Amino acid sequence: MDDLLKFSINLCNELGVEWAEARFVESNGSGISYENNVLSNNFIGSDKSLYVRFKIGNSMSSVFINSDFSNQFINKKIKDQVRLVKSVNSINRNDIELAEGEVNKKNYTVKQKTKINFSDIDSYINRLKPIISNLKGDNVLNSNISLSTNLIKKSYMNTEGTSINSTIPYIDFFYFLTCKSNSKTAQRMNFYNGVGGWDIFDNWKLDKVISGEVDTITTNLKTAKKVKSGVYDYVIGSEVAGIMVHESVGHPYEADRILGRESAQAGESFIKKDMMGQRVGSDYVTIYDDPTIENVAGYYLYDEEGQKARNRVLVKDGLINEFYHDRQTAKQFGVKSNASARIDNNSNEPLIRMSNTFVKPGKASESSLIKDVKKGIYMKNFMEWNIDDKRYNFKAKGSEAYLIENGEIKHPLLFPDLEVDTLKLWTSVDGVGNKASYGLTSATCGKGQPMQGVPVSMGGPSLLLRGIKHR
Amino acid sequence: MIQEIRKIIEGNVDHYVITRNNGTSNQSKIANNNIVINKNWNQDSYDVFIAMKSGNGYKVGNTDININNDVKSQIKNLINFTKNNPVNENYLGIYNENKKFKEIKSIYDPDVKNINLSSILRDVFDLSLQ
Repeated sequence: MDDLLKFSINLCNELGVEWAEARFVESNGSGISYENNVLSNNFIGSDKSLYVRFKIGNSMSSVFINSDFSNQFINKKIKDQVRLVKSVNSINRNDIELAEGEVNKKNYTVKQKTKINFSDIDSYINRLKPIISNLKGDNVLNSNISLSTNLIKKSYMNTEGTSINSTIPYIDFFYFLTCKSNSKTAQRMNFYNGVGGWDIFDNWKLDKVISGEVDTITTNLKTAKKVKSGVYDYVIGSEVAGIMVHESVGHPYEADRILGRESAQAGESFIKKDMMGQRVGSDYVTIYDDPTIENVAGYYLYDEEGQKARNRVLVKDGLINEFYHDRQTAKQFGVKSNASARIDNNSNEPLIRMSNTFVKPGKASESSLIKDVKKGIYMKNFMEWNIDDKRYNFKAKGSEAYLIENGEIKHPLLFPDLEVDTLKLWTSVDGVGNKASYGLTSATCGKGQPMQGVPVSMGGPSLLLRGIKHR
Repeated sequence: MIQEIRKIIEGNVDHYVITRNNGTSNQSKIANNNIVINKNWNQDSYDVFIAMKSGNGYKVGNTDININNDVKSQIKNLINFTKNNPVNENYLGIYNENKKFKEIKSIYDPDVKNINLSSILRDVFDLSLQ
């Protein structure tokens, strides 16, 4: 594959492009899914593809090939695209420029303690059996579960001399349940995405996690009471902190959104380019995005432009500290790329994406946060959520939730809301849980057209929010 | 290639569906009155579905064939993978009758092939900025 990359890069140089990158991806994977405890789908597959992106004049362009890797075909396709780009160059009034990039050379592989064999379907079925056996009770009206694995080998080169090779195994588990009790229903869905071998999946202990959730949901449906209108303090668990940090901090801090490049597809941002340093949260709020955390969904060491990944400090002590950048937006902001360019599939252009986004843990135990509340709501996790296009008006519907009175947990609450705008949300934080309350939840984050779904994680510790109105 | 896949599959499975995904496509992405990227895709791959009788039901399997990989070994993997799966209770067989569809001619303007995209885009930008 190195030969193909070198050929593509040399050809781009010969054709007079100003900058080019080439990526070859080889993937192998398989998966299985069940609907209502009956096998519904399975697949095994492999793929190879070449992606070349280049800048010529004031335009950026890309060529994807998974059909014919002959030099002749690649030569024709890249030449055709260069010709097309030259013909439309006059349309663009603004140049597309890249910030200066690092020249990196690195090979890295994520090791699997318990290696995945894609053909061994029994290793998938045996891992799902204990989960399925817990979903056969009358309390589960409907269930969908799926488990898939994928080994991605990437080779990357650019005209500046960067060369990165990586091998990363991914495991993705998803479940969606509808539970029934006392003539009421509740839905629960979650992703478990990780990087590594079967040991990662086994450590999740999903049979216990999911059966525990079914028990709690059905028990709470029997006794849960509606929330009375009023102003409450909230203690939210790491899963709720995660969805908030992803949707109301992660997305609006993507510099391509801020600049409007993604407005027609992914949406816009309430954050403006000149808001750096402005207060958006209380002193308690520090928010990180770190792609280098091992074994979790958003892991990578070099981004899709060959830049070295590092922890990004998006919010520091309540102040905006950093946005997500690739080399294009970095140039427009006058900063260096912080290695945020990612792809889900080699056919797609690198876009600015989150990785593992979370609130920095503090020192308080979750129980001490609860003790500090006279009248409040403890929202451990959520059933559904939504947020507006600019990422400002957020709402989550609680799943497992309880009333707090005078520092004590009381009866379960029936789907309480957490409805708040982004500034109110983060400025109302009055306590941050410790590492014991910290957790990361994974998900597939969508962006772009064609849609790109990349694995991410999100989370934090438990948080104490003051004075949130419940309708 | 579709015949090659067919030859390997036939006799080893009870039902199969082979779908070819082939072609070139393009997209120009426009944001802030600029073409931010011109994309070109060249794809050629095959989706293969098989069903194998097992007791009173069928075991089924799916794969996508990349033409740059060894086709025989990919099909062999699919067959072995499918054999090891449980019976799929949702699979009730496939429709055997051949279907043919009329080519739709009247709604496609052949002149669209000769359209001057650069000129149209420039007009769109200029008008939107006025």
